[in-house]
Amino acid sequence: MLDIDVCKRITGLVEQLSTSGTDIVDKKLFRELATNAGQSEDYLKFTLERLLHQLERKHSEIRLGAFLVIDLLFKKSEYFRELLLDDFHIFLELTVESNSEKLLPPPITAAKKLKQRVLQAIHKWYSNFQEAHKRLALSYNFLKHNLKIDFDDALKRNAFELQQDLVERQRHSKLVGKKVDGIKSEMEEKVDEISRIVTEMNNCFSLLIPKPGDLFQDEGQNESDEDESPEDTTVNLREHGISDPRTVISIHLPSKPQQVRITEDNAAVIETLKDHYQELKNGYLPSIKKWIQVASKSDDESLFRKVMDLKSLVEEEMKQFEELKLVESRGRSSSEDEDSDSDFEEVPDKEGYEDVVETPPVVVSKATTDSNIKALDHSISQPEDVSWRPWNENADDVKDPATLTATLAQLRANQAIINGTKITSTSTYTKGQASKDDAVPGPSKDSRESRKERLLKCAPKLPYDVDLYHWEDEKLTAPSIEIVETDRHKFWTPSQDRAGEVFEDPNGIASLRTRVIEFTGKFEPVKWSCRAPLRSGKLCPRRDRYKCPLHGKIIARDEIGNPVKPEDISELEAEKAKADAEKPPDWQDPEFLKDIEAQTGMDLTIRPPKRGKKKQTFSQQYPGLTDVDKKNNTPRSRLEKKVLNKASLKRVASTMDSISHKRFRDKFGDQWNYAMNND
Amino acid sequence: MLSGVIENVRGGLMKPDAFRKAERTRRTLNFSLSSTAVVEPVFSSGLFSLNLDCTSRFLLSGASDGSWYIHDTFNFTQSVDHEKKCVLKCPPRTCHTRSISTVEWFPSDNGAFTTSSYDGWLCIWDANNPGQPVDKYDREGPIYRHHTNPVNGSIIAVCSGGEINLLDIRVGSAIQKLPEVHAQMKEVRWNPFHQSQLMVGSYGGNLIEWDIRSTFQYRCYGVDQVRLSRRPVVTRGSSGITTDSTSSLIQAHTGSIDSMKFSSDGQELYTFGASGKMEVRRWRMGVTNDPCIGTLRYGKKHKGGGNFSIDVADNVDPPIVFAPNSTSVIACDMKDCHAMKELVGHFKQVNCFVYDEAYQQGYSGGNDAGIIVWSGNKTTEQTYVEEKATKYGIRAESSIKPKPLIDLDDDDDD
Repeated sequence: MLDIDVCKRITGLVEQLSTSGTDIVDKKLFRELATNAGQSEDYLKFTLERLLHQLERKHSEIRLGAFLVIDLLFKKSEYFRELLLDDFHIFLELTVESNSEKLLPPPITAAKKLKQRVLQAIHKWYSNFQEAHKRLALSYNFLKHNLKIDFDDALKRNAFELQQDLVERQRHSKLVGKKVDGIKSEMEEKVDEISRIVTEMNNCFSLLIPKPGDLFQDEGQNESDEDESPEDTTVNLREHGISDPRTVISIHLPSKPQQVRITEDNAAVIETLKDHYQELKNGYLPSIKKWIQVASKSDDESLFRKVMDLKSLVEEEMKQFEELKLVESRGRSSSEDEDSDSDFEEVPDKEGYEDVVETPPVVVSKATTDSNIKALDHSISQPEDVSWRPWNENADDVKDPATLTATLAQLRANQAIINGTKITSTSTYTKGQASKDDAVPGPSKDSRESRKERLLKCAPKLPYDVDLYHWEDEKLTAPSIEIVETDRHKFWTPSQDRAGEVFEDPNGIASLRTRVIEFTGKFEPVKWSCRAPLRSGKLCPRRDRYKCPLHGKIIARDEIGNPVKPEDISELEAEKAKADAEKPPDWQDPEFLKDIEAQTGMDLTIRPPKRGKKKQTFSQQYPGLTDVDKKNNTPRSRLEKKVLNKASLKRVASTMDSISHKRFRDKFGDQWNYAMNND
Repeated sequence: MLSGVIENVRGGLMKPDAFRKAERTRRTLNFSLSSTAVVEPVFSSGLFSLNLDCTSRFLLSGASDGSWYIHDTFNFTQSVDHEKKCVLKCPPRTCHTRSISTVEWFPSDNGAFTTSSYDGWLCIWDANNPGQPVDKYDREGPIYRHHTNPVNGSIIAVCSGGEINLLDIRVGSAIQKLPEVHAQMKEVRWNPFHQSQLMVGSYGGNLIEWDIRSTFQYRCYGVDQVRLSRRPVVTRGSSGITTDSTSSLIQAHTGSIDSMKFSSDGQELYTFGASGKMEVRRWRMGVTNDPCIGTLRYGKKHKGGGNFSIDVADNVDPPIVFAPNSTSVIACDMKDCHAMKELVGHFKQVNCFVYDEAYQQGYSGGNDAGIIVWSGNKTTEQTYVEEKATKYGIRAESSIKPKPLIDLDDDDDD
């Protein structure tokens, strides 16, 4: 009888040993397993079962782990040998690909290793136990003669590979050493130059923007002077217009550097700064980056730290320069503009590029800025009293290429180009005719004309259709429909022969009185961009109707991108507060935490609380193994997940479909082939 | 136990035949991988057919690359631990161009044998002069199976391209063609007792009995009935050849019939076929209804088809059929119809099995290009192994003192 606890223990141990991910079997655990399994033959059988189960897992590292345990047990137990050899064909299938249809699972490196290790082990087993176990000899021969496995090669290869590994490692370290020597000498050459530049730049900065500390230095001298005659202080202050010494004057210094106006006095300094900046940017920073790459590969930590210090120094300097706002004075000649360092060429604006963007519609509808409304109205040039009508040429947007108006306009333009003279002649003719007509009628007609025109202006215009045909028909009878068999096929007749049958239209008279007008809406070009402030200082150029994919709802913003309307501001603030609340505190900086962990050995990272019993990921479950199912978490895959997911594709497709359907109904609904699909 | 039975036999309480049968049965049921004998691995590809000659000495095997081999199964090495040497091999360039489907010794003559292959040739070989085949017969289609009449020894029934032809080697040509019966034939076997009775199995699972003296009618075997039918009448008219089938065939297996074996007295037939799974059936001959007296299904899903051959041990008490089951061989008890034992040892699909009646051994061949010897004479072998162990001092005390299952003490970690 098998004890459940022992079985559980064996299962746990086998699992633990096989999923360790190392090449060496933990001796302590193995001893425990052996004592448990060695209690009786049944336990040993059970152990083999569990091991084979582990061997069947689709992960070569697990299989390798299980094999290592099997190898040890095989050497130590006679009965285990017999048991394993009974299932040896399964074992071979799972470890050395004896069945060419069942290949070893990933990772490939572990699979290769497993195969090689198993072959070596089988060779060893064969030489030790072939006398006692015929089946082992048979299997060995099968592998050797049938699968053409070269055991000598497998053995040799292991030794050879080890040697090759060693040689490769030595070669690599030599190479790295050479490189490190190279950069060391290079650094020695350049460090002085860099430090010179950095000091010069620092000096330049202090010349341009005197630091508060510099100012106090001067004052400190003054104070020392004043200390000698303390009674004079009040007098002095009074001379300066300060009556009360307790008065505190707080000067608000903006954290960002101020603007520096380029004048003739500081032109030379700024020029030097620029030169140095360019030198650092184009010459030294790339070489420092190269050094970092080399230094990170070498074992020399001090070198790496040195290079990193250098880099941070240079970068700080460069940042300081970049933050400097240089404002050119008016008198600057244009020639200096031309030698700007930009490599980009000036190109004409792209067609349709709008330098100035209008404020979004949210602002417009609330009528905060009237001028915008006007501008909008002007651009569309839509009379306010005209409600939407089909065939309303004014409403049809010329910009929308799918409309009749647009097509007509284009045709007209073409015609005008081809025969310009003809048009002029006809126009003169119509003019003459008009003048003749004017001459005939009296004044009363004129008034009537005007009234008619007025009425016509406000009268709805509709194309001719069935409802107009029956407009004045008082006594209407519901239309009847007769079924007509269009294809009188000789053999192929419908199940119910209803040809000639007449019945009334189920809609009755209404079908003659109604008219269906599809409303497609009007084409509205996007005239605003998101304009949320970006980290680069620019504004988000994304143009969209309602929502920016990165910054959410598009709202009205001023020139620097701050929201204008109070409700927007409050909403944004609420969002920010929410994000802050969820964010870990400031000291949860990963680098800082890493330092702490290195020094004290404590991991102070605050992890988000676990929600319920979350399923462990593979890497959490087996930290020693490589995760073979891990999807590569690339920006592309992340975007794909959002953009190409089923729901969004469906949503977009249905919207597009409905729009185009309405459009077709509106434009071609009276055509026969479109009339057929009346769903 | 054995000694007690022997005493009974000596005292006349037990018939020697019964004793012999009991011992044979014991050995056959004890079949396991032989720990002493191996067959010399000379094969370069999978094996499709095995045959033992009438003296149970020479093992003939046909491989899927068209070559054949003869192994001597007798042991002259003066030690139980031996290798069965290959004594004859197909000379290069005279072998078949495609895989061999059947090899067969002539009945009561171990100097000649026949091989047939999917390339359409049936060759007769002289074992003493194997340089060239003695005679060759060309059949148009691939030959699936042939069988030499065990009674007269000169008529060979050949199943090629779905038809059955009879060759007479004394005449040197085909003498007769069995009528077409709307089924593609696959397997053919003579009754060892009635020299004119020929059993034919088809791809569609039809089992047909012909009397070659008069082929106007045939018997078709179903599970619960035997139907006597007239052969179809072939009329050649203006619209080509039309055959009038008087009655539809009934099925013995739902899948194809892959192998057949008669019992040695010719009263029973064992068929191996497919019906979703592997299926072995036992038939009574010469009855009119309920001919099927035993069915055994086993194994995993199986489409049927392929070149398999089974063998029957019928001089043991429950008749045992050895039938292949993917990578193993199943020993089927055909009296109670259950799978008694699975013989595991091959690494790839097993195709054929041959049972040595005289010495109670089994040989199986498969796609892994090896013949495995199965023997049930465990006591002898075990005694031998133990003797050897004591002789060479290998684990001498192992039999005396029970050793721990796992030897943790000898930590000879290298």
